[in-house]
Amino acid sequence: MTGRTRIGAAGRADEQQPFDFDAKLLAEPDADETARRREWSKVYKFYDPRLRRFFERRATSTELDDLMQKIWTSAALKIGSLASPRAAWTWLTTVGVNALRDDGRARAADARKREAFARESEGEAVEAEVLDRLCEDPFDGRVDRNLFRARLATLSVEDRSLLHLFVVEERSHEEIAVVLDLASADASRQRLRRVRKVLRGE
Amino acid sequence: MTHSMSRGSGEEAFHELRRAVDEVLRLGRRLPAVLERRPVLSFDGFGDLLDHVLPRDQDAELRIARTLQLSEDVFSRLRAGQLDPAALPASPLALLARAMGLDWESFATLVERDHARFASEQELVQTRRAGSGPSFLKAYQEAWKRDTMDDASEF
Repeated sequence: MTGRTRIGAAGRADEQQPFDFDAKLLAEPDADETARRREWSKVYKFYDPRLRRFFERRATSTELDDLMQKIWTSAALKIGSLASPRAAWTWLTTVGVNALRDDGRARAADARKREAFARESEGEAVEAEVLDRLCEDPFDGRVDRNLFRARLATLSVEDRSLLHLFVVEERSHEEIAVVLDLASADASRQRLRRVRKVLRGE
Repeated sequence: MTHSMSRGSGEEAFHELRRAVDEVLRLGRRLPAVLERRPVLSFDGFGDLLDHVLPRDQDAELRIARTLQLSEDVFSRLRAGQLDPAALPASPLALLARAMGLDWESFATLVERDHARFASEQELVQTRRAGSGPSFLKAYQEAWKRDTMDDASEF
C-alpha cells in the first residue's frame, strides 16, 4: 500500500528472536482476563523496552512516551489480525514510524499556519502572551504595542478566546467552532477576519 | 480527558490502556448484532448508529472516548447527533468506524447525513451541483486510508 513503511535491517535482530504469543487471545476482549493479562504482560515486557530503544534516537523523551502510547493503542486494537507473532516487530515498528511521520506532518502544517498568520496579521497582537508570541515573528519591531493593546482591549471576551485558540493553541477553525459553539468553521473564519480588521484599526 | 500511559507506572498504565481499548473492540462484536435487526443505511447518521452500538454504561463510554482521545463532552454530543462531523477531527472517527467493522461507503454516507443537518442550504446546493461529496469527506477518506496503514493483517 502507498505510504506504508516497513522496517528492514534496523529491526532484524529483534525480529529473529524467538518469541511467541497468542494473538487471537489478546484480541478477544471477553476472554478470561487473567490469561489475557498474563499474555499481554509477556508481549509488553518483551517489546516495550526494545521499541523504546529503537525509537529513542528518533524522538525526545516526552515524544517517546506519546509514541509508545500510540503504538500500544494500535497494538491492542489490531493485533488480532496479525498472521504470525514473528511479524510483530516489523508491524510495531512500522506503526511507530507511521506515527512519527504523522507528527512531522502536523508540525509542518502548524509552521505553515503560523507563517500564514504572521503574514496576514502584520501589526496585530493578542494579550500579553499572544503579543509576545507574535513579536517573535518576522514583523517584530513594526508593531506599536501600546496601540495594539488598546485595540485589543476593545475586543469581546469571545473574540479574545478565538484569537487565543487560533494563535496560541493553534487550533483549526473546525476545532474552534466546536469549542466556542459556533455554527461552523466558516463562522470562525469570518469572526477572525473581523477581529483582524479591528486590530489593524480598519 | 485522554489516556496517558506516561503518567502511570509502565505496565499497569499499559493494562489500563488495554482495558479501554477492549471497549472499542467490543463495539466490533456489537455492530453485527445491531445490523442483524436493521440495515446500516437505515440510520439517520453515524451519531444515530453509534447511539445504538455504544454501551449505556458511562464508564465504558468514557473509556472509548479516552481511547479515541476525544473529550467526554464531544463524544456524548457526537452520539447524540449534536455535532457536525465536518467540525471534528477525522482520525478518531475513522478509527472508531474501522474498529466497529464499518465499510468506507457506509461510513461516508452516514457522516454525510450528519453533516447535512448542519450545512447551509447554499453549501448543499453547491455540493449537489458539483456532483461530488462534501469537501470535509476528503479528510475522512485520508484518515481512513491512514488507519489502514497500521493494520496488522498486511504483515
